[in-house]
Amino acid sequence: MWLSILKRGDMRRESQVKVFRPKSLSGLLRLYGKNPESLIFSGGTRIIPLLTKGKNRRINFPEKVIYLGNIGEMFRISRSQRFLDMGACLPISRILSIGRHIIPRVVYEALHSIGNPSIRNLATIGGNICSPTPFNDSLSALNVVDARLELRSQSGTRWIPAGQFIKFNPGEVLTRIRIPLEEWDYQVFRKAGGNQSPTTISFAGTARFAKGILESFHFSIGGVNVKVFRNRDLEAQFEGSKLPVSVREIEAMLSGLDENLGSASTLPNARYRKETALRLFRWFIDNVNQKSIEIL
Amino acid sequence: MPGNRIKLKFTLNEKDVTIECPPGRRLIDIIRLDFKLTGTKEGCGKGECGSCVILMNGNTVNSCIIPAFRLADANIVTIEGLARVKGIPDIRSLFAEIQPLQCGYCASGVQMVLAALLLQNPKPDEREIREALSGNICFCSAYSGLLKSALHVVKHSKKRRYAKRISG
Repeated sequence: MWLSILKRGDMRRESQVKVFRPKSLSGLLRLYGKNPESLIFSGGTRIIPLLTKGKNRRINFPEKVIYLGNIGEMFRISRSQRFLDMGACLPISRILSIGRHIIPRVVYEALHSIGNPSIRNLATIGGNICSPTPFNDSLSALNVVDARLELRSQSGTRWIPAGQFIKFNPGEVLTRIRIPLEEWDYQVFRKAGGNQSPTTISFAGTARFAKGILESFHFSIGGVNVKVFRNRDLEAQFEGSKLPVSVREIEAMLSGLDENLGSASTLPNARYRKETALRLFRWFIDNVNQKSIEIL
Repeated sequence: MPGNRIKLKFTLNEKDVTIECPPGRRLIDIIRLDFKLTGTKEGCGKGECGSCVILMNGNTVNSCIIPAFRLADANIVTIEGLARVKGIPDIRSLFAEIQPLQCGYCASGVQMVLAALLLQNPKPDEREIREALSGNICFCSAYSGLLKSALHVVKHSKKRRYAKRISG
């Protein structure tokens, strides 16, 4: 959404900016429905550096800005036996303060890898999901745990899997993130490259063992394509394998992943991205094997 | 054409203040230009270097990426008001004892980060200090000195807090 505002170059002098500060979700949806060209603003850690221009480093906001900081519903956290629901405007540091014993470790590590502590105090989870970073750090972790996103507009509410999120329909806002609370024997998140690097790759993986076999196996890679990569068919190939996973199976899996990534990548430096993704996958499998030996 | 201006009330260094400004004005400009509190420095202007860190509602934030409309009812503490915050030792004098800095441009940001860390965790270990300071870039690369000073602050903070309380 905000990328189109940047491209349009529809910026105003700082004194001509009109800021709406709705206090409820219904108020927000009504406002956004009437002003679909507005910039939705929450943490601002990614958008402000892009909007700050000139010698005086003024923030060149578009004409209309909707600030989400006063909407209490978007700052709520609730936990049931099966799910953890998080409002989209929750600062990342606030989510991390819940602790890694509640949040799935892979999500915790992904959120912890974002920016630095001062940035995490401002940046929100919704902003990280909606901002088009090429490596999709939190989205790859949310995808691997089968998180779902609640998108609301005046016309209704829809839930989509985190991995299928690319863009909004007109007037739609991300309001909630729902994370299933499942037990995993091994969870890992790794980022190859820094937060500012255009070729950073993020990798998230989870595995569950039972009676000497790999019962459940998920992995997701951000940064190989516009959309986060996850292939359930490839995952299914591994599920049910005897632990530790044999070299032959790993090689078969790697060649399968190689084929899938090869046909998917449209970003620059595609070869580097693919090779890094394959290396991260190999590292993940080696760790799954090692962990399984420790546990079983 | 008269522009939009918003009236904001917030607390700055434990004083209630009111300001009328364009909604998109940056917090660092409000602090430095409107209130003439020049202890907060501007580095990259993108929220990456940590020179402009201040405390907003008890949390460290980069003031160069905060627009004015976020300030309503906020509690802002800059380096000038740090000594007045309860529960924090006199970080500036403790820093001066070690003298780790070369140009000192990053000093205010580093001290604000340390203050926030000590408010949340009175006895942080070295790993926690390193993690807290990960968002502060020292342009002179005096990182070992900064870490040494931070450890010195933590080591003496309890003693100084006690002394401060006694002296009233």
